[in-house]
Formats: sequence, structure tokens, C-alpha cells
Amino acid sequence: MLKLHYGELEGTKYTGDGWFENQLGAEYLETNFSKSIVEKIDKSKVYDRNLIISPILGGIPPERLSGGTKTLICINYTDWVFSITAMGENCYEILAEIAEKKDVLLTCDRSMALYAYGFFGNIYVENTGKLVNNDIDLMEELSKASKMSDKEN
Amino acid sequence: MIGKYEVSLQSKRVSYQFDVKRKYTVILGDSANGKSELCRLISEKGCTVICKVAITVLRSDVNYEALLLNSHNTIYFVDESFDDIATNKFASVMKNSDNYFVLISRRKLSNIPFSVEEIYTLERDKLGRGLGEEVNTLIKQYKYSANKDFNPDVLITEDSNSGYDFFNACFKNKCISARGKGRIEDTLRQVLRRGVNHVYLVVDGAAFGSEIATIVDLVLSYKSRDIVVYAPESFEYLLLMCCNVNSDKSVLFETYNYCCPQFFNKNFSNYEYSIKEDFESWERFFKAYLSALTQGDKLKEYGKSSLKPYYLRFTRDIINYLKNNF
Repeated sequence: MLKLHYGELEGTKYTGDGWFENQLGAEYLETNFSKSIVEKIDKSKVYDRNLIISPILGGIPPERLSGGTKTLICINYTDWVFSITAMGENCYEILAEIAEKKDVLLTCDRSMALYAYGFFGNIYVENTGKLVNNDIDLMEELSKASKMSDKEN
Repeated sequence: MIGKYEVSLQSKRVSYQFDVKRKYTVILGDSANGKSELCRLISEKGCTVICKVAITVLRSDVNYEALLLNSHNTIYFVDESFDDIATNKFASVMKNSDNYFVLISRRKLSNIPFSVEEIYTLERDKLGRGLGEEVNTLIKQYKYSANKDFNPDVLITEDSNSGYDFFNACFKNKCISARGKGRIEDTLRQVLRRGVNHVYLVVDGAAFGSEIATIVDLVLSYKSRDIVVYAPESFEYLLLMCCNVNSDKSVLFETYNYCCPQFFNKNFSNYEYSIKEDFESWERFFKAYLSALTQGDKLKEYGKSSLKPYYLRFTRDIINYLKNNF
């Protein structure tokens, strides 16, 4: 399930850039799930762990994959906490697929919709302790969370 | 720094062409739409760069405070990986810097007064065929469409002073002031909770950039409601465009060439306020321009706290302008 936390959490990573290359390792690119992410988001093919074939850029190293793809792969294979802003809206459907299989904790910095952009399943808003399954409730809970966060600060 | 600058980057496989014309430009959008590639091209050698001023990527490992305060007439590209991009410190340094900034980030940049008009996403030219023919341009993230009706059940204004006075006079008992851009979201949510169907918002687009994504998400969430967002540059911009105040339309259409102290020194030497710096946000420029144009005119003199009845003569023009342009 996706767990959203409004506000900062210690150790949050704002993008998968760097973490993917330097900590996770390109071998994670060679799984079928990672290959499908690269195809859906970057519209590219994984040739092997060192080479991606992009229809626009030609042969590129994995470092030049998009930040959204790197973040999704990191989320799938680690328990690192990312900001949801590390991903574009075109990543939300795949994020939902990952969150169907495991718990994923992400931070966010505004009240936002996710279901309108392809997310599915339940979301647990950590600050308020509420479970939601639609954008109206999600935005309501995140708004409450932002006020709680303002009071704390 | 003022002016409009054409930026052209060309490599064998991909190129970018776009204009930068305000202190802050924001690029966001889907993953893998070319944002990181843009920064990479600027940073790497061998890419052909055509621009009248210097362009460079701001790196996280430099002392940006010293760099930005001692450089001039440069367009800095700042991407998501720049650690301080959303901090108050960075916002403050940018404010005092005589440069333009292209911020490539989906984070909420609430301390930066950027315009709804200057939020872009990248679009690949669909005519491109194969390698070397892909041209990326910036297209507006938020597009406007004409609204034939202007019949709100509730109209929410960002402004609590002149702007509110004007719309409240037009739509008696239907107008609510949110009292600031940071409270628009809450005010809209409260109105929607009451079940109101036709809700219109009038916000100052010139500095509303950080809030618009959330408002658009609320509109998407309440799909069955008729929620219309009008984001003219500012209320003063509407008055300058629609009311007879002798405004020079070229100043309004090409504000990027005029939003500096020299313009006021040259044209309004008797203006009561001293303008010492280029305008960080155009919202303030339009207020100063309207105020300078009408200074000393008993009929039209513009003060933010109260609106002269003269401007109410132009209600139909202003509503029509909003309907057709925002």
C-alpha cells in the first residue's frame, strides 16, 4: 500500500538520480519489471545493464534514464523514502502496481491528486491516520496534514 | 536583468528552442520528457548554444550565494537535483540576483513569485523523424480556453482590497475574498464542501505559480462541478488593459522590456515612490505603473486599499476581457 507523509522526513531523497547509479546498481535494470518501466516511461529498451537503446538519443548509459524511471526502480527494490515530486504524473500507474505488492512510503509537499493521473488502490495518509481511495478524500486529508505540519513548525 | 531571450541548443540528436522572458521560468511535466537532457546539453561541451546572454547550469557544489550576487545577465538553469532549490535561502539569493532562472522542478516553490504564464512543459516537435531531427519546445502547462458564460454562484478573489471591491460590486452577495494566494485552496475547498456548483476564481496570475497545481488538482477531483480559474497577471493589469488610464499597450504586451527603474525614471519623474530595482514579479510592476499613471488624478487615482468608483464604469469590459482571454 502507498503511505503518504506530508512534509519532510529525515533521509528523504528528492530524486532517484545518483542513488540509482551509485547505491542500487545497474544489475537491477535486468529484471523484467525494470525493463517494463524503462519501456513505459522512457520508451526505451534495456539492451543490458550497461546499455539502453533510446529511439531519440540512441545508445545511452543507464545514468541517462529519466529521474522518474530511476526512482520507480529504487522504490521497487529498496525501502528508501522518496518525495513523490521525484516522479512525473506518468509514473503514478506503475507506482500503484508497486504499492499493490509492498508498502511504499513517500513524502509530499502539497495537497495533490493522484487518482486523476492513473493511480489506483488505497492510500494511507500517515499524518492523519486515514485511509483514502479517491482524490477528494486524499486532498482533504493532505490539507489537514499540512495544517498539522504548520502547527508543529 | 530585463528583456526576452531566445535560447537555442543544438546537438546531433536533439535540439531545444524556446524564449525566456521573466526572472523565473518553471519547467515541469512527465518523467522522460527531456528536462534532464536539457541540462545535460547545456553542461556538456560540443553542443551549439545560441543566446544573446550567457546560459549555464547551477551546480549544487558551488557557493551559489557569491556566484549569483556577483554575476549579471545570465540565465541559470536549476534542476531537481539542486539541493537548495525549494529553500528560503535560495529564494532570497535569487531575489537579490540580477539574473534569470529556469527552475526545473515539480516541488512546491511557494517562496518564489513565479507566474502561471511561465510554467511550461517540454513538447517534442511531432514533425521530427528519426535521430537528429527532434526539436523540443516549451509549451504552456496551463492553457486557457474562452468561457462563454460568466455566471458564478460564488466568485472567490485572491485580493481582499481593490480587486475584491470591484468583483463584489459586480456580483453582490456572491463574492468571497480568500485574503491571499495561500488561502485560495482552503476557501475553494470550503465552498465546494457546501455543494456549490458554479465556482469562479480570480487570482493574480503573475505570482500564483506555486499554487496553481493544487487548484487544478482540486478542479480535477470535483469533475462534476463547474470550477473556472481566471488568472490575469493581476487586478491592476485588468484595469490597465480595460479602463481608460492612458496605458501604453506595448508596455503591457512586452512588459519584459519595461519592468525596471529606468522606465519609471524616464516616464514618471514625479512618481511619489522610488523604484530602485528591477521587478521580481510583474504583479508589482503593474501596480506601480497604474499608480504612476493615475497619480494626482482625483477621478482615477489608484490606491490598493480602496477603488475609485470610476473603475466600475468598465465592469462589462473587464468581465468580457476575462471571458475571452483567461
